[in-house]
Amino acid sequence: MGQSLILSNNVVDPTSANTISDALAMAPVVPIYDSNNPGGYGYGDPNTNNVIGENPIAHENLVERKDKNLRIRGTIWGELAILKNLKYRLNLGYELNFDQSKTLRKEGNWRMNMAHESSYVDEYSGRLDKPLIENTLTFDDKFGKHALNVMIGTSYTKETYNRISGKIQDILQTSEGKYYDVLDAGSTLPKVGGYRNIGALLSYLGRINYSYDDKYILTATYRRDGSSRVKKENRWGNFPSVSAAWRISKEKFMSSLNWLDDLKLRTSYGTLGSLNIGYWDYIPTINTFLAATFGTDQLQQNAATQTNLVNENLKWESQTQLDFGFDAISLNNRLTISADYYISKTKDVLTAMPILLTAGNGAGNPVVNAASIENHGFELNIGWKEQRKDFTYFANLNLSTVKNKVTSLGYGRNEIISGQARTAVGRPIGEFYLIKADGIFQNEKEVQAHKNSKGTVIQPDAKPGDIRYVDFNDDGKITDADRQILGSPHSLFQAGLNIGLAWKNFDLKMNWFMDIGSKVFNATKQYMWGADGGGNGDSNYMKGFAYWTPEHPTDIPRPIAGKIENRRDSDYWLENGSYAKLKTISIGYTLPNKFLHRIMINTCRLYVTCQNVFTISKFSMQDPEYRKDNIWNKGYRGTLAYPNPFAINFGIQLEF
Amino acid sequence: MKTKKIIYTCCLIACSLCNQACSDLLDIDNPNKQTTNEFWKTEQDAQLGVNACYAIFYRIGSWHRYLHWRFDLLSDEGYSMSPLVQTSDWTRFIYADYNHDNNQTVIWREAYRGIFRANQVLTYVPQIEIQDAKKKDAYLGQAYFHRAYNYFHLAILWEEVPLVTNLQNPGDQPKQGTLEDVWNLIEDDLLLAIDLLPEEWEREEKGRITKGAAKALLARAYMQQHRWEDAKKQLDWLVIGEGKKYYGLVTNYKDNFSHLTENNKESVFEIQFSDALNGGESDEKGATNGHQRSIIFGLAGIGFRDGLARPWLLDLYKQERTKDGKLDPRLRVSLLYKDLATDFPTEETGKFYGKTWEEGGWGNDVYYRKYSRDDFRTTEDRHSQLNFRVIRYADILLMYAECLNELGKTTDAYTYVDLVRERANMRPLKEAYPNIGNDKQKFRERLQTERVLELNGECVRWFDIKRWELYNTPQGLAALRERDPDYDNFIVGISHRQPIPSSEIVNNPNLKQLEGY
Repeated sequence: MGQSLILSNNVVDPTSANTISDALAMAPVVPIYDSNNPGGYGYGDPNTNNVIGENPIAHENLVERKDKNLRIRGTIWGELAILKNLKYRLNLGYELNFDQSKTLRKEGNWRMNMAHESSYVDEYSGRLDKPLIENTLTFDDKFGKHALNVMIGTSYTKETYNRISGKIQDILQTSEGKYYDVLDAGSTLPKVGGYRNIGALLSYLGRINYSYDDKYILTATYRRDGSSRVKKENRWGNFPSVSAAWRISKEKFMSSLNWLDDLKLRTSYGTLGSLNIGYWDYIPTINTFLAATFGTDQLQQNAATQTNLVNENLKWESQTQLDFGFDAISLNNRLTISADYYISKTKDVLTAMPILLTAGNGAGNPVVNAASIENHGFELNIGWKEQRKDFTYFANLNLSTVKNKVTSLGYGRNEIISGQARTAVGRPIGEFYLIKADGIFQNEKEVQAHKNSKGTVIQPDAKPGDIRYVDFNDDGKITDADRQILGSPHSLFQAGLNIGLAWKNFDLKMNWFMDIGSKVFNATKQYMWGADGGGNGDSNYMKGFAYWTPEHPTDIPRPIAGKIENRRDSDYWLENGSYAKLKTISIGYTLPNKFLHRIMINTCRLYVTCQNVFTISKFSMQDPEYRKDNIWNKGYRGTLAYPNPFAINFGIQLEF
Repeated sequence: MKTKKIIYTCCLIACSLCNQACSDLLDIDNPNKQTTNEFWKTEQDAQLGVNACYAIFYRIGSWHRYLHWRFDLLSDEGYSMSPLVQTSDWTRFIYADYNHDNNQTVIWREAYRGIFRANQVLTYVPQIEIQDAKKKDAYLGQAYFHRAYNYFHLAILWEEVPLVTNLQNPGDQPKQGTLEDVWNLIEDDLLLAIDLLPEEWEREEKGRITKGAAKALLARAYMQQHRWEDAKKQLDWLVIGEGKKYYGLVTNYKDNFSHLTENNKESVFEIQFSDALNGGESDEKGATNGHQRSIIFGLAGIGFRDGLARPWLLDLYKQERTKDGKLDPRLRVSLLYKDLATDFPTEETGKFYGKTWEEGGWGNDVYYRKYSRDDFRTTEDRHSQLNFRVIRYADILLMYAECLNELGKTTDAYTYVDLVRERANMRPLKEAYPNIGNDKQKFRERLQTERVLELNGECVRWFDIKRWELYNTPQGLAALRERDPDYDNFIVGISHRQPIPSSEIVNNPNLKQLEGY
């Protein structure tokens, strides 16, 4: 018998907008505070500062949001030895998760051209119930040099999430301007809402481990997973796998190699499934939220129709992988090496994929089995650890490479263009698909000399200081049709390095990471260098920004107010995305034991940890590690997400 | 051994029980939403589905926002000062990004969403048992109209668009039609609608499509194709036929743009807007039923100044006086400008949204005033309740006059122009412009001016420019450029249409980008 209980409580004050982006994009001549504006914040005006950047301080102050989450997870298990080598185990789990969120919108604006919005309180609370039942029957025995472990089992989990929400406008205020931030303090347009999500997963599991003399090891597993998230016919997925290992170092012919402590050759082949989609993505439903106005009295009548299309035939995504590798331990267990080469085929990747607008779909794209992808790559891990008297140290280096190729796309398509990237069958996912920039026009003569094969001047309206683009389709003008594949967002390799040192009671740990060889599209720079109102106004460029002038020709195009010619999606904005960073460094001190035992403490360690210490990179803005979660346009960097924060944590670790 | 047997039996029973129960464990219905299979069964479902066709008007790419922007600002009447460069460039015939969401994509997307809604009604409602055959006819008639109306906008802006007349699967790649195919589809749908629709609606259903609205739209579609005889036949019903009794001109021109005098006798096709719902612009609960015209075209500081009127409109109004020597009364209903209060000292208070022109700092800007709320509010929001009159009877009369003139019946055409002029207290055309006589071309030119004076700021000028192909003669293009410098970017043979969103081209091998883009 046994049990465990985990409890966590979380309070977050999330940002209401893209704070960093807004701070940089707002023209510096616009004051932060301006008592002439509703709410009292400055944000430009049509006559003197025709910018539509947001005042981030205003936005954060006028929209106050707080999210809370209380999570309780408990398990109880019991084991019954039916026979000496046969055990039955029952595992019961329960997860409870309460989340609450409250937003107070105060009156006031943070952007020019904002319609007046009344104050409101918007609040929701939800509860997740997630029971888990697992039954397993395990047979475990040895017969001479044969060892056999057989397990069969079932697992069932069901999650139910209930949410209710309320919103109300025109919140009561004191004469000093303080808001009573509860729903009861609102007076107009109360709204309620609520929904329930339910999902279930049932699995049958089986596993056989067999080994002979700990030298030949065979494992076979089988999973049959059933999910409520796809239609009945596609509900069950069968996922078998087998693996074999040969501990070659145990063979007699290897025994002379004293420096080798252990060497194991491995191979495996297997399939895993995933169904990471919404609860009822496969069922077309009716949107009953609609309304239309009719009649002399202009009253609202309900309206309903199917607004969103779905793919009813969604099925399990599966990944089949073939792997060859070895693990070696050498030099008195100080050196460990493991290496792998793998080929994997991911079939029927489940994700949203852009569909034609002519289908008439509402918001968002339906989830679909969107692509099949082949990956292959190497992984290498090298570890070293050693102890010398009071001094111990270790270092782990891992290196990995991966190459991918799309073998098919959903809806029978041959390519997908998403933003600045194109994914085509037979090629890697999300290659950059851009117009090629070819330097800066230095003078009028160069503008006139830039012609296509028929002698048409390609950019007749360009001025010296503008970007020269390649007319890829030779039609005498620069359009979308001039895009071409210009680089990959995928890295050549990634590497991680963990180093640890300990001397007496002191310890030091470092965690490095590098990602080399990718290209990224710097949408942040593209946006910031725009001279129109959407970007940075017409006066505010970052310090040291030296754009092209006849006197000081540089490779930065001249800013043009009200035109996007120098901001097109071109490879001018492509940059080297390689970086290396010290992700964490941690120093600790463990207090001497003698003293602690008296107060019933086994160990006590004090430590300081620094996160995101520094980054070495040629990327010109922010932290290149930022990723947007869009598999079709992986290399897109922008527009100024909240950066990975530099953080210092002080901590005490106690064991009783 | 005995215990083992018992265990095995237990396991077997457990397994079989489980297998039985398993399927049930995974059968989970969506408790939040009705499925499409459960819907489309009753008359009420038919009604809800038809209402959803109207609800598309409250979406951003429809009359909630961008159709106003597109039609009024693309024409030589208006221009944009939007700080969003690509969106103001869009009104200057400059298309840097064929996929730009505010421009290329939004109207296209909304039109096809509307078509999807109409197609659902047309697919499912015929199978629903509805006792009152007239009601069923009316449901289907409205859906045919909505489909045609969405295609009408596509035909005007893109011309060669995919024809979607059935329900689509997410992966479908519909074929591109020629402009003729699109007009044929519109014609077929509207002819069906005309037969199915009632001539008028009860008090609480006002604003729904009538037979007259369908005939008016069909006439407009015919006129765009220069099918004057066909157009005249449809208009006959409204102007001299049975339908005449439903229509007329309201005495006060301003009543066409006020929320206090909606669905009056001048209204032929009127989009119903309300400020009772003030949510967002998507298909969510409580989504807005209002529109943004008054805020996007609104005075700087009050509205967004995204759309302004070209000053030549002001000059045009000042060229002719009323019978009693005053300024054309339509001027002060149509435009907001610096001297408005001095031009109309008895009618105007000199305050707009509670501010004088100087206090507002509006300088020499000329703004559209139709659908502005300057006379009863001090702020603007995104939920204007002013119904938008898509087709009103004055337009019908001028269309009728145009058909008559094109068919060589210029003398007859005078009557209908004069009806419209009379309401503005302008002298009869013959009196004011005696040199026109029976000259078809001179009459045509005058009619073009009359339409501007009566209908500016009502999203019809771009249709007119296309119908008259003003840009296809050097003099015509020069005149357009003089009135609106945006036309400096107009390329003959290309700019009369806008590029198809490039994502549509990429994902549909049956679709070609339009010539020149």
